[in-house]
This record gives sequence, C-alpha cells and structure tokens, in this order.
Amino acid sequence: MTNTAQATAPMICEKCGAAMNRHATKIDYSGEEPGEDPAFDGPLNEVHTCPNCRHTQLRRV
Amino acid sequence: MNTRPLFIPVILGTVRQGRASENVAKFVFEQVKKREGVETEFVDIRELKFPGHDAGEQIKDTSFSQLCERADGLVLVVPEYNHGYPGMLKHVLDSNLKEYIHKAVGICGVSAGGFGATRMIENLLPVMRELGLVTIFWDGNFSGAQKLFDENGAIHDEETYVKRIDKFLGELVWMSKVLRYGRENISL
Ligand SMILES: Cc1cc2nc3c(=O)[nH]c(=O)nc-3n(C[C@H](O)[C@H](O)[C@H](O)COP(=O)(O)O)c2cc1C
Repeated sequence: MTNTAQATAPMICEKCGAAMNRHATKIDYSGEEPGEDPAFDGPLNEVHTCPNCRHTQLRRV
Repeated sequence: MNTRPLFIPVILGTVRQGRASENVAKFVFEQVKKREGVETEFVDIRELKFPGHDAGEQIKDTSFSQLCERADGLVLVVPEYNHGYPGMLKHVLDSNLKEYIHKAVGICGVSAGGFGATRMIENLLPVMRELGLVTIFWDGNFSGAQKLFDENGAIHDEETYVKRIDKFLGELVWMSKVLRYGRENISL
C-alpha cells in the first residue's frame, strides 16, 4: 500500500454498503474540470470496486 | 477467493448487413457457454442503437453499462475494415470507462483476407489499454471469413477452431480471474 492509500478511508459501496477496494487511478479527460497538477492532462479519479456486488465507483483524488 | 462464476460477454462489433462476423461471434459464444464457471451473454452492437449526434459517456446505455460493470472479461469479435476496426464499435465502447478498468479482454479478428484481421487487432490494442482493459496474448483469427461457415452458420473446420478458441479462452479466463482478485483485494 502507498502512503496515499493508507491515508484515505475506504469508499463505501453506494449499492450494498460494503467497503470497496481502490485498485486504480485514471485521468479524467472529459475537460469539464481543470486538473490541479500540471503533471497530468486532467483531474485524477480513484477507481474503487466492491468485492461484494462488483459495483465500481470513482472518487476525485 | 471469490467463487462466483465469471461473467464474460461476447460482443459482436459490427452493424454491417451481411456481416460474416456474426457467424464467428455465435461460434465463439457457444464455446464460452461450454466453459465451466463462466456465464456469458451475446451482445450485438446493432441492437444497442446508440445516437450518432454525441459521443462518450454522455450517451451511456444503462443496460450496456450494467453489463460491462458486471463483466469480469470481454470477448470482442471484430471485423477488419481497411486494416482498422469499425467506427461503430469504438462509438459503443467509448460510452463507458470505469466499467472496464482492470478487466480482461480478448479479441477475435475476422477478415476476408488471409491474415485473420491481425492488422485490425494491432490497431485496437492501444484503444483497449486506454479504456483500462487488459489484453491477453492469444487472439482469435478468422481468415477468409465468407468461406469458413456453411449456409446454416456451422463452421467447416470445427476441430481446428475449437482447439484454437480453447487456448484463447483458457488465457482469457485466467486473466479474468486474476484481475477480479486484484480489483477486489489488492489495493493501490
Ligand atoms: C469497409 C470495409 C473494409 C474492409 N477492409 C478489409 C481489409 O482491410 N482486410 C480484409 O481482409 N478484409 C477487409 N474487408 C472485408 C471484411 O473483413 C470481411 O467482410 C469479413 O467478412 C469481416 O467483415 P464482416 O463481418 O462485415 O463480413 C473489408 C470490408 C469492408 C466492409
């Protein structure tokens, strides 16, 4: 686990209430919001999957 | 470890009238159905009816997005058109994103020519990567597609193609299991 992951509370699945697993980070290319960090081409989203019901949710980094 | 069946739908990636890819997709679908511990569904992009005046996640189709979210892996059956993949398939795939991340994908290429749509497959690989899908190193290659099936849609050389697709699906199922484990248990 990275320090960032440890510092962030697990996301709770909006469908079934289980704790989700964060397994990816993805640049949002929609252009709707500027990215804070010029190292990337847009804002970053964490990707979380629910081990219980498979639902996937995003959370802004 | 999660023991629920894997869900690996087969997506027919062209809307063309008279498409030979339909025979290929049905053949592959039958092979997936035979796999123990795997559930599947047949998706014909012609039936999805995505609008042509917009693109991306703005045109999400709820049932297609739910299917992709449920999926642990995807089989794409895709014809080669001018060495590329059909734009309509890209239009459909672009309607999702988070639904694909860290899921396995296998590509079956269909061509009139003799190279089993390998040029199309090579063009499609970087798109898969940007969608967050993880490609396997087996492909399905269906050359000379118009002559591969009889008039009832039965494949002529069944033994050969069953063997090839068995290897392809073996790798896809393995990758789907590994990635499901990773999505659900291994934190970034
Ligand atoms: C617009 C278009 C371009 C094509 N380009 C190629 C090609 O580059 N290489 C090839 O082997 N076949 C090519 N074909 C033939 C298809 O690969 C062939 O029809 C095959 O059966 C798969 O497509 P289908 O499912 O639409 O039939 C092309 C067909 C169309 C309609």
